[in-house]
Order: sequence, then C-alpha cells, then structure tokens
Amino acid sequence: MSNGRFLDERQRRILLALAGTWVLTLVVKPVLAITILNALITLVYVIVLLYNAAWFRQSLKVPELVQVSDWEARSIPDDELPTYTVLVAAYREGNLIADTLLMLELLDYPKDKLEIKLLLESDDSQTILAAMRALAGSQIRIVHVPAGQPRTKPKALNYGWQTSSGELVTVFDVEDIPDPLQLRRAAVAFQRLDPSVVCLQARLQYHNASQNLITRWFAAEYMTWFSTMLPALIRMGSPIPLGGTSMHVRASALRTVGGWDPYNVTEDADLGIRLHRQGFRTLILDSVTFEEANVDFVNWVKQRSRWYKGYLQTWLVHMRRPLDTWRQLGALGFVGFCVVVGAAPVLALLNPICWLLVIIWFIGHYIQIKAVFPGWIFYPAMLCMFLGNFLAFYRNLVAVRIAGRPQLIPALMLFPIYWLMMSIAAVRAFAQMATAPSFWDKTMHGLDHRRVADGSELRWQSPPISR
Amino acid sequence: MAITADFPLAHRRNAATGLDFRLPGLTEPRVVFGLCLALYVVVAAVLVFVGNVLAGDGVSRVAIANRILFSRDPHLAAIGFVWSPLPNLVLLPLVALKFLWPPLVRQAFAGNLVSSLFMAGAVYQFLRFLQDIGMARARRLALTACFAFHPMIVLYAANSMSEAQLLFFLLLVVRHLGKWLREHSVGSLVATGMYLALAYLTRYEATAAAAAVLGVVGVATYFGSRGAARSRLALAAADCMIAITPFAFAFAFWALVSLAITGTAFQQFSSPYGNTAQLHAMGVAPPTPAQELDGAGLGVRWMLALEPFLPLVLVIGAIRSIFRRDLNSVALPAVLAAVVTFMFWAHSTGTIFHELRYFIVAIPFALVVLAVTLAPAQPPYRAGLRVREESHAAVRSRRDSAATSRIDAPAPVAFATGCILLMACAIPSGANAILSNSTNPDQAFQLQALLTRMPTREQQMASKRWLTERSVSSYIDSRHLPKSSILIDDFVGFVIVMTSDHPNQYVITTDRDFLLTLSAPAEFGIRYILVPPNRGRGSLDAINRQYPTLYDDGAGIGTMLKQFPDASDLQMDWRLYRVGAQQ
Repeated sequence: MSNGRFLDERQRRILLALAGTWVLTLVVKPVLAITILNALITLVYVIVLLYNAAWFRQSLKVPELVQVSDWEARSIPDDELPTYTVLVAAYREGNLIADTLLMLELLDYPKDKLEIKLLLESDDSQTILAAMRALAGSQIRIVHVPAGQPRTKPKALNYGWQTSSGELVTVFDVEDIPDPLQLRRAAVAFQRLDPSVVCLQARLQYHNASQNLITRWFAAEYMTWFSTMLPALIRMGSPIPLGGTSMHVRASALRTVGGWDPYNVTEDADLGIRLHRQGFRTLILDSVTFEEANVDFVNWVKQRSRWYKGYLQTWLVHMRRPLDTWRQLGALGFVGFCVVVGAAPVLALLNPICWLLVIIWFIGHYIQIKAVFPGWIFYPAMLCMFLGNFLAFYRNLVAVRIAGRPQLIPALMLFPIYWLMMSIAAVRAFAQMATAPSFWDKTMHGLDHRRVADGSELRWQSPPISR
Repeated sequence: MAITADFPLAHRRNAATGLDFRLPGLTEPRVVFGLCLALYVVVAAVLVFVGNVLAGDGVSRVAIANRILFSRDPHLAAIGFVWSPLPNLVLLPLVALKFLWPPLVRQAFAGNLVSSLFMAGAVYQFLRFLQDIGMARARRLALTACFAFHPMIVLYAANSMSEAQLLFFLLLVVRHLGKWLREHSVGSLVATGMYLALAYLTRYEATAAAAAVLGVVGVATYFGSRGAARSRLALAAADCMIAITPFAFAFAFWALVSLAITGTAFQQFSSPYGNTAQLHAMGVAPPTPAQELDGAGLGVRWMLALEPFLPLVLVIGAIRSIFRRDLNSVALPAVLAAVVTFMFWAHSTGTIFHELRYFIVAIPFALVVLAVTLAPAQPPYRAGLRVREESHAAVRSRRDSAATSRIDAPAPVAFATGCILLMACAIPSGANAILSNSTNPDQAFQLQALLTRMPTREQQMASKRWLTERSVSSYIDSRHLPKSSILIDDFVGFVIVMTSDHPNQYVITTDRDFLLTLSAPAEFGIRYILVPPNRGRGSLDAINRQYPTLYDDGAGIGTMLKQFPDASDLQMDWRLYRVGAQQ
C-alpha cells in the first residue's frame, strides 16, 4: 500500500537518474535525446494499440456475466443467506442523504442479516444533521469517521468496515440507485461460485444519460467499459480496476489484502489489482446500479482528474516491486495492468501533443520534426495514430449498438471533444500529483435534472437492455 | 439452475488467457487449402521458371517492395501512392528474404507465392462459407472444385496479380455478412467492416462492395427489427455505421498518407503515372456512345466466356429466392454483383484497360448465387434488440424445422447435380478464354507457347518478354559501377532495377533527391542515363518528360553508348546514354 507518497525512495532515485541522463543527452545531442524519447513513446503506443486490438476482439464475444435470475434470487431461504455489510460513505451530501436512505431501504435482504453503515465525517455537521433527521426509525447506523488527514473515501471505508461483521461487504455511493435484488443475487452467486472468486462487480449505468452532451459521452463510455470491455478484460486474464460502487467482496478476502488503501484516491481500482495479485478472481455480476453522470464540465474534469491521479498512484505503488507484480499477475496480466491502469492517464496527457504534432507536420513538413522522426519511428507512429483513433471511436460505436442505444451515436460523432476533456483532466491530474497527491477532489452529486425537478421521482427500473 | 450456460467456469479452458495454443487439426477446409496451395505454387513455378510468364503488375509490385527495402534510399514511402498499398506491403517479408533465394525477387517469384497463398485462402473461405450455410459435403466439395479449378482462378493464383487478394477479402466479406444475417452477432458485422477495409486497401473496386454491404445491412436491420419506424431507422443507421466505419477510416487513412507524403490525396487520378494518365498515354480516347456499346458487348462476351451459364444460374436463383421470400439469397450475391457491375461499367466507358481479369469476380459471383440456391433456406433476419450470437442449438433447431418445408429444404440431388455440372462447364470454357488472343490478349501468346511444342513466331516473341530488361540489368551489373551513378525512371524500367544485384547503382523515381538529380544529372554525379523511347507508356517516363529528345539525340546532355532492342514486341527498347557533352 502507499504511504501517501507517489514514489518510494528507489523509484525516485531511478526516475531522477533517468531524467538526469536524458537532460544531459539533450544538452549534448538534442536530436538523439528527442529521438530516443519519441521511440519510447511510440513503443508505448504500439503496445497499447496491440493490447487494445486484442481486447476489442475479446469484447465482441458474448460477455461472461454471472447471472442470477429474479426467481433464484428471491427463492433462496433467508436463513441460508450470509450476513451482509453495506458501506455508504458520504461527505457534504446533505441534499441527497434522504434519497439515499430511501434507496437503501428498498434493498431486498433480511433485516437481521443486513448491516448498513452510513460513514460520515465527524465535522460534516450539515450531512450528519440531514441524515439524523431522515434516519428516524431506520436500522441504518451512522458512523462518525474522525476528521483528519487523509480525508478520503477509503479511509472512511476502512474505519467503518473494521467494526462490522458481515461475511460479504459492499460499497454504495450516495447517489446510487442499485437493483433492489443485487445483494441477494450476489449472495446466491457467491454460494455457487468457486471460492477463488471473491469479488463481483455489478454493472454501472447512468440514469441521466440523455441530460446533455457530457452525460451522453459519459454514458457511452460507461456502457463500453462495463458491458463489453470489463468482461473482456477478465477473459484476458488481466486484473480489473473495480468501480467505486456496487462491488461485492468476501470479507475474508478483504481482510487478507488489508482493506482499502487510505491514501489512494481510486481505492477501488487499487483493490481490484491487489485482489488479483493475491490470486483471487473477480467477475461481473449481471445486475445494474444506476449512477448519476456528471452533467457539469468543471465537475466532470475534477472527477476525471481524480481518477487519473488515482490510476497513476495505483500503478506506481504496484511498480515499486515490478518483478513481484509480474510474477503474481503473469505476463499477460502485467501488460494488461500497465496498459489499463498505467498508460491511461499518460496517454491522455500525450494525445493532444501528438495531435498537434501531426497537424503541424501536415501544415509545414518542418525539417525539425522530420529529424526526430526517422522512418522506423514515423511509420509505427502514424499507424498508431490512425488505428488508435479508429479503435477508440469504433469500440464505443459497437458497444452502444450492443447495448441497444443507437440514440447515443450522434454524440459519439463529437467524441474527440470528449477526448480533449480527458486531456485537460490529465494535465490537472499530473499537476496535482506533485502538489496534493492524496487530495480527494469532491465530485458534486445531485445535479441531474430529475432530482432537481422533483426529488422523489427516482426509482430503480429494469435496465433498458435485453440480452 | 443458478447460473446460466454462459457461466465462466464452463469455459475455464480459455478463461485464464483467452488464448488457445492447440495445433490446428486436419479439418476439411484446411486440407483443401493445403492441396490448393500446393497446386497453385506448382503452376506458378511452371509459369515463371519454364514459361517466363510474368504478369506486369505483379512484377512491378515485387519491384516496389524491393525498392522499399533495397534501393539506395530505402524508405516505406517508396511504396508509391497510385495503387492500393496492401498488395505491396504483404510482399515485404518475402522480398526481405531474397538473400536466401534470389529468384524470389529476380524472377519476382515472391509475388507468385503470395498470390497462390491468397487464392488458396479464397478457396478456403469459399468452402467455409458453404459449410456456414449448411450445404452437404458432396455438393460443397463439388462447388469448391468448380471454383478452385477454374482456369482463370488457377492462373490468377499463380501469376502474382492482386486479384487473388481481392477475391480473398471479398469472400471473407460475403461469409461474415452471411453470418451476421443468420446469427445477428455484432462480431460478424465488425468482421464484415474490417474485411471491407482490407479489400479497399487491396483494390479500389472494393468500393462497390462497400456500397452493396451498406444497402444490405440497412435494409436487413430496418425491415428485420421490431418497434417504431424511428427506432428501427436508428438501429439501421447504427448497423450501417459499424459496417462502414473501418472502410471510411481506411479510405481517409490512405488519402491522408498520400496527401502528407506526395501533396495530393488521390494519386490514382492526378499522378502522371495514374490510371488516367496511362490511358491517355496509350492513346485510349474517351469512347463514343457506339464504342461504349461495343465495350459493353465485349464485357458480356468475356463474362460469358468465364461463366457461360451465369444468366441461367441467375434466373434459377431469382425464381427460388422469390418462392422462398429469402432476403439472404439476394443479399450475399449482391456484394459480388456490385463489383461485377462496377467493373462492367468501367470497362464499357473506357475508364480501365480492356482486360479479362477485371471480370474475375463473375466466377465467385455465379458460384455464390448457385450456393445460396442449393443450400437450405437461411433463417430470416430478425434484429430487434437481440444482437448477440444465438446458441448453436437454437440455430440448429431452426435449421431442422426449415428442412421440413419443401421450398426451404436443400435442393433435390438431381437438380443440384445438374446445376453443378453446368458450373463445371466453365472450366473448359475458361481455359479457352485465357488461351485465346481475343479474350486474353495480354497473356494468351505466352500461355500458348507454354503448351505447344512448335511455338509460332508471336508465341516465341511473347515468351521473351522482360528478357531485354534483364540483359540491360546484367550488362550494367557487369560494369561494376559505383553507387548512385545511373539515372532511370523505374516506372517503366522497374524490371531493370529489380533484377540488378546492386540496386543502389540506380537513382530512381522514388529517391527523395530524384527531381533534383534529374534537373542536372552531371552535377549530382550521374554517369549514365537509361531511357525508353518517348512514346506510348514511355512518354510517362520522367526523364522523357524532362528531356523529350534524349532517346533520339541525347538532348545535349549525353552520348549514346548502347542500344537494347526489345526482344518481345511487348516491352520497350532501351538506350544507355553516357552523361557528358555531346560534341
């Protein structure tokens, strides 16, 4: 686990040495230095492209989702169900907390086996007050998480979980609308599955996809990720970065890996990797939790830059002993981990630079650019540029079609703008990495119009997909 | 039942990596592939090493691959942007091995190996297609034989042209489109799109196939899905986009690369070496309406020479699909029909040279029409919201129930046998077509020379094709010249450079300093210039365009050293000039 710093001493020394050598080369032989850098970057792109092509191919197969029918979920006798702990961390969410409690009350699970903990920061009086008002007569317990650094969701989760007794544990976010049968489905699935399967990730979808262009992009991206890419990633033997909510995990396994990393701002992704390194398996549960897609540009950038920062943090932490990670994940799993977790933020940062280079090249054919792109770099780079952009567009198109939501396609046509937003978030993430590594950039919830218009309208509905 | 049949533990064999490392078994299509490959390679060897039958475009592709790797200025952009890139790119690995076996490049045999491979692949795909549509073994093997042993197919498997690659990718498109229509799997639609893109990067006429696929996919989804017209339209648009996006990217990719490197996006139209310029140089004037009619008549005769019973098969297929009300049996042939129609149009209007090979797609077209006619009826397409693959059991049970209805059942044995025999007639007819001067003017003499003991004068001449270029090349090699000392435009002279042991003696058209050198050869160390006469194709030669009288009188920059008259009447004479003042 991290100790709040991105790099440990050894990584810092290696990185400094490499950077120093490169700068020295740059001074002595600038063309050579830049050519070497170009070669390395192109190599990364080539690896990412190859992996993504294989990944896309896998994603076209029927996804291997763990399915438990309504009937099966309901018919299991209550006394055969395990005890369940539901953790809900909230911070400055006073406006939503009443809705949240309503959703939690709807979860279909025997009361005596269900333990729901609302984790609130002890100095967040506004949310605490709102919760206490709404809680009257409910079995949900409020846990006061002591204030203090790091003020992160994983710290709250650890704090709440350490005093809980459920055999199964799950996490929901305040704005979630989970399938009411999700806990029963997960419990049934865990009983039938091999004990090595310790984690089931439910599918996340957005309930406000059609609110504006950003939510449409975001929804298309999530559809691609949870409905096609994640199942394919599992099939490829790669560790999967879990989503922050609706991941159901056996408490014993969570204990083995030591809970969440309190310093990591994408504790979910990190947990997925650590479970995999211990030889545990994660599968996707065919049950949907509706979330609220970010509707606001600034809010979206904040959330995305936290994700990038967290991914980077996760990658660096697991690269402190790269050989151990390699051994535990296997070669393919290791490559997958590096591509999915490590390369995502880096490429988001590099993409606009590459685009700019291409445009400048087309306009001017500058001899300086030519000098640092010899043929053996130029051609693979050009191919990556075309095939990479093709794949990035195409896999969303295919996923949206598989999900039966062709009305999102017009938004996909403008997807490059969304990529640009990702890059802005990446710049922010890298800047924060230096200044505030464990700072949790709070995402505002409750901005979707259905809530704004009428707070009581939300209900869980069957997802609009039929397979 | 707790967890459905798709539960991962049932698939544990592949669950860990998704990869399967077992060796391929000897399945029927693989055996057929192997046998065809062997046959085609043997025929290729006879053509090249016994008959000296080298197809111009095929040889020029090997020359391009050779100059990418071994010229004095090796770079990938030397691929040229007039023709599609893929046929050149696939040659690179084999051409790189020329040090192991020089004839790979010297006789351009690498090209023949590649075309054999792709044509055997096309046969494999055709057989897999017949399996996919549920055709019984005897008739599917018989139909496959009609394809694999068609003389035109054998010739183009063996002669290094890119027709084999085009057929390979088109049959892949047909196969996966058929799979999509039957099983509604997005994966098949994606595959259809990808192979269309590869077909485009092989030959531009694949554009016609793309248009047909677009129509088929749109119609199938719109009329096959349920719901309001608006939502069906949205689904149809989505499916069309999935099918066409790879093609659109390939199109944009090739145009942009061309733009980035040459400054124009569509070299096939604008280049001084493009199709348009070549037609002009060969004195092919835009045809009058009467000539267009003649061209169309010629096209029909050539198609009938390749597939004499094509009209009959079309009638039978049409009648049967009307009775079956089966969209599939129209949809799949439509892809190939589009290409045939396009080539027929281009042939009639004089957009392309009159060559038999442009009608080669008529062969798989006739066979695919017959195949869907003889096979059991395909299940109707119902898209709805179901887009994943159906279980095999569901497909099989539907197929079984289809078999109970007479019109949906496979065609009766006698009828099928009759039809296949009609198709087999294409074999003698095709043999006649490729050996006849009227249908195959380019190659007929050479092929005849191979088959006769007493060749006529014309046949003898034809089989001496390219020998002049080789003698030029070996003459130059024997003079042991330093690097970069001979100027040549390798658009016409590609065989000279390709056959050389030291290609870096030549300054060629794709060298980045070619234009500069051409403007003042002596100043850039050029000692000799090789030039063909300034007429016909030779008028496209860059040196002739710069110094129009060089061939005749040295244009004041050189003195003639040696003349190489063409031995075959099919190629150019060459003259070698020593650079330096004439007086």
